[in-house]
Amino acid sequence: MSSLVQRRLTSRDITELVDDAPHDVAQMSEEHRASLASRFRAVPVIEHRRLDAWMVEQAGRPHTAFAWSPATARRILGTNALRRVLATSDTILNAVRDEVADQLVRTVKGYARPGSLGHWLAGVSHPVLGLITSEAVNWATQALDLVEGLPAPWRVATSDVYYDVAGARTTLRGRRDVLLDTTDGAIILRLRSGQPGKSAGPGLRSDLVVATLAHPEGLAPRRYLGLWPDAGLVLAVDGTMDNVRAGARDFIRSAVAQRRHALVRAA
Amino acid sequence: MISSATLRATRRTLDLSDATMGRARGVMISTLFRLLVAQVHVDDPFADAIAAWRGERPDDELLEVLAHLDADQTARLRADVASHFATLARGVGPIPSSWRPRTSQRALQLLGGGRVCLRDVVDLVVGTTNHEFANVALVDVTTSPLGAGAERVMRYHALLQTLRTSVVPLRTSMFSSATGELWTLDVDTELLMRAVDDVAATLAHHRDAS
Repeated sequence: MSSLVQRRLTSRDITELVDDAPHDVAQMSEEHRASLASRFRAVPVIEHRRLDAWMVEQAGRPHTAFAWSPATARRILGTNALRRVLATSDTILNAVRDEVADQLVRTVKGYARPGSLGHWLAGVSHPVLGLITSEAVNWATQALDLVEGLPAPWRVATSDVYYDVAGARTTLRGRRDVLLDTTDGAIILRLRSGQPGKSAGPGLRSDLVVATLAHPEGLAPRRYLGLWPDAGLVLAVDGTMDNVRAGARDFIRSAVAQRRHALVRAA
Repeated sequence: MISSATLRATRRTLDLSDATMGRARGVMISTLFRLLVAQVHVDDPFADAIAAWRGERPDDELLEVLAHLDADQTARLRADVASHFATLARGVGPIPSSWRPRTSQRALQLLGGGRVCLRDVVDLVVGTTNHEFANVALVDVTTSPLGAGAERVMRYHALLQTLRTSVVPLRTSMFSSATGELWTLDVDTELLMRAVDDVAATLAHHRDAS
C-alpha cells in the first residue's frame, strides 16, 4: 500500500525524515519499463506527450497556456542563484542579478530561443525586472534557509529529471530542487508554493517514479520530500515499490484523461 | 477566511472611490517597497509601481479601474504615491542583503479541519529561523496611520509566522508611510496569546454576523 507522511516544516522534522528514510528501495527492472511503455503505447497520441506531477495533480485536465511572470521565473533564477551563492559565497541578491545578467547576455548573443526565459527577460521593463529579482531572491533565500541545517551533504539539482518512454512518444518530467547524497541512495527535496492539496501525494509519487525510471539502474530514491514553506508543512513518500507503482498508475491515468479531454476539444 | 485585512478592519464606512484609491495606493506602495528591498532604483514611483504591478498581475481588475481614472484623480493618486514612497524610502533606508530579506512572505494555515483558513502576507521578513535563538523580524508597511488595528495586525503576523515555521519571531513591526511612524513589538507568549484571542474574537464576530 502506498503511504504519505506529513510533518511540520521544521529543521527537527526534516532531520528525522532524512534519518528515518528507508534503506531498502524499489528497483525497476527492464520488464517494469517494458510494461510501462506498453501501457503508454495503448493510449494513442497525435503530438508528443509531456507529463509531469502538475498534470497528475490536475487529473490530466488541460492547463492554460504557460506565460512567464515573476512567479514562474523565480524557481529557475532562484535555484541558479543558490548554486552561485554556494560556489562563490556572494550575497543572494548579487547572485540573482548575475543570473539575470547571464540570461540577458545569452539573449543578446542569440542563444535564447523565442519563448525562453532569457527572451522574456530581455523584453520586460526595469521595474518588472526588479520584481523578478525580488521573487528570485525570495525563492533562493527560502531554499537556503530550509536546507542549511540538513543532516547529510546536499547539493542543488542542476536540472529536473526526464524520462522518454520507449516508442510511446511520451516524456515524463520529475521536478527536484535539492539532492541529499547518502550512502544508501538519494533523498530528493522539492519546494512548492501555497498549500498542499488532496492531490499533493500523487504529485510527489509521480516525481518519485520519474526519478526511479531515470536512474541508470532503476533504483528509487530513498525518500521524496515535498516542502510547502507557505503552509509550514512537509509531505514525504518513500521509495517503495508500492509508491513507484502508484506513481506510474497515476501517470497512465493522466495520459488517458488528457486524451479524453483532447478528443472532447476536437469534437 | 481570516487575513490581516480582516483584523485591521474598523467598522467605519468608507466612500467606495476612496476605498478603491486606498487599495490601489496600498498595492503600489507594497510593490515599491519590494523594489526598494531589491535595491532597484525607482525613477518615477507611480509609473514604476504600475509597470511592476502590471508585470506581476496583468489581469488585476484594480488596474482596469486605474486606467479609467480622470486626469485629476490620476494626478492626485500620483502625488499621493510619490509622497508615501518618499516617506517610506527615508524611513526604512537600505536593507543589507546579509539580513536575508524576503518580501511579500505568504503564510497559510488551515484550522478546524480546514473550516478556518488563516492567510497572511508580510511585506518584509529578515533573519533566519535556522538559529538556536529566534532572530527573525517581521516588518509590515501600511499607507494608513497606525492605530489599534495595526497592533492586531502585528500580533497576527507574529502568530502566523510562528505557526508556519514553529519558531517564534523576535520582533514584529509596522511602518506607516502616511506618518513615518514605526511601531515595534517584542514577540513573547503573551503577545501570541493575545493574537489567538484576536482571531477567536474575529471568528465569533463572523459567526454572529452570519
